[in-house]
Amino acid sequence: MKESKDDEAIILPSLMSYRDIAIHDFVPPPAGAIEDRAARRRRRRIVTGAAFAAALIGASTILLVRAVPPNDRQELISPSSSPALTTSPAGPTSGPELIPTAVMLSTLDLWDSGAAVIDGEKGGWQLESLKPHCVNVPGAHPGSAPPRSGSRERTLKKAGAQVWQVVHRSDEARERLAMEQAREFLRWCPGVTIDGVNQPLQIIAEGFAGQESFIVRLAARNWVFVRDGELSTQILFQNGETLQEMRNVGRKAARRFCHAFTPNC
Amino acid sequence: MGTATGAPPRAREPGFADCYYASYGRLAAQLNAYLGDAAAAEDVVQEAFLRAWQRWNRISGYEDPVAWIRRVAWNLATSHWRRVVREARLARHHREATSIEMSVPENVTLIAALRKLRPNHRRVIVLHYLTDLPVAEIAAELNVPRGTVLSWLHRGRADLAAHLRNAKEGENA
Repeated sequence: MKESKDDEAIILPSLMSYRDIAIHDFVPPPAGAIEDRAARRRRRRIVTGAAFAAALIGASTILLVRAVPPNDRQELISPSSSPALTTSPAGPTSGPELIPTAVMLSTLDLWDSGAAVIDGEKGGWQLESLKPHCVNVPGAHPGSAPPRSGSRERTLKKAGAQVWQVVHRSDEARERLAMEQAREFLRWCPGVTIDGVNQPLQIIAEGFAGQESFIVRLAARNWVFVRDGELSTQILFQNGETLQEMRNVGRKAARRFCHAFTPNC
Repeated sequence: MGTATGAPPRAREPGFADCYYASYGRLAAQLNAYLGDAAAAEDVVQEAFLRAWQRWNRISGYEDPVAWIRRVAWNLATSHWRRVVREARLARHHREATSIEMSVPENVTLIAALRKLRPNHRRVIVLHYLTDLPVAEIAAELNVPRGTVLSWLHRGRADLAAHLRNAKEGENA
């Protein structure tokens, strides 16, 4: 029994200290990112279920048609029994093929080693996703960004740290407008409520990369916006990166834009 | 700005974000103590919240929705751990190569010591000391007799104390 007490005296301070401090090592990604992933997964299940049901109906139709004498077959094959109509892929295409992967940040742009890239995750973390949490909004929302020809998104992940990036491509006028609308969003939404606490949303740096750039801060989260020509990017940091580190990554993103599309960059 | 969907904002599940922001760090820290891998811990916690969101209408009515999320996260973590152990190469990698990244050095020492415990011992230590679950609840959750939990706790405490003592002696040497 005494041994047990001695052991507890050794382990308790470490465990209690860990319990109080370690929670701050884990910053949650925006709730919108989780909600969007869940909604996407639900949609995928519905589409897969519909495809399976349609395939089943198609297979039964074929078996039924085969079982019917040839002269009566035409009546059975009506347009409404075509399974293909219910299985077309859902959702708009975002044209990622217009954006070479070389344009995207690599893990080495952020860390030395031990990191991974996850491509294909979409939405939910961008500045715009804060919209439902905005407080003191003056009137109507300024509106969404213009449609783009192509968008590509990736998550860069290392133990205890994640960085999200989306790159958009259309024409220069539209990308300029999108940057202006991001600023407009900030004028419309000066702060948000998270976990019952009001937090200001503000620009903390500008003009450090590409043709235009700025960084938006919300508590521990920072969104870096960079535009160069017909490309723009939004990058979310939330791992305690310094302003200088985020500016540097913004410059690397701009350099990648330039190298990808300008031979003598 | 962001993605240009042009669609109206989707209705968010009331209460989900508050529950998520309030408990994410705590759950991730607990799972990290069990898995010894911060990225894997965050993965299972995010997956558990994702599943909770899909059933939020039901779960939000529970007396303690976080308990449901914690159980899902632990089930995922146990599957993850079994997979890692099954693949010997990864297990070696997990024990020896994966670096531990925590903001406080003492927490790195603790995680390294916890990694050396047997999974069952580590699990009850984390559930009892970091999740504050009483022995009876741990027994119910793991579906084992109360005496087994007490025995695992006893051995886990002894091994963890020995590993922490060794680490301290190593630092002082």
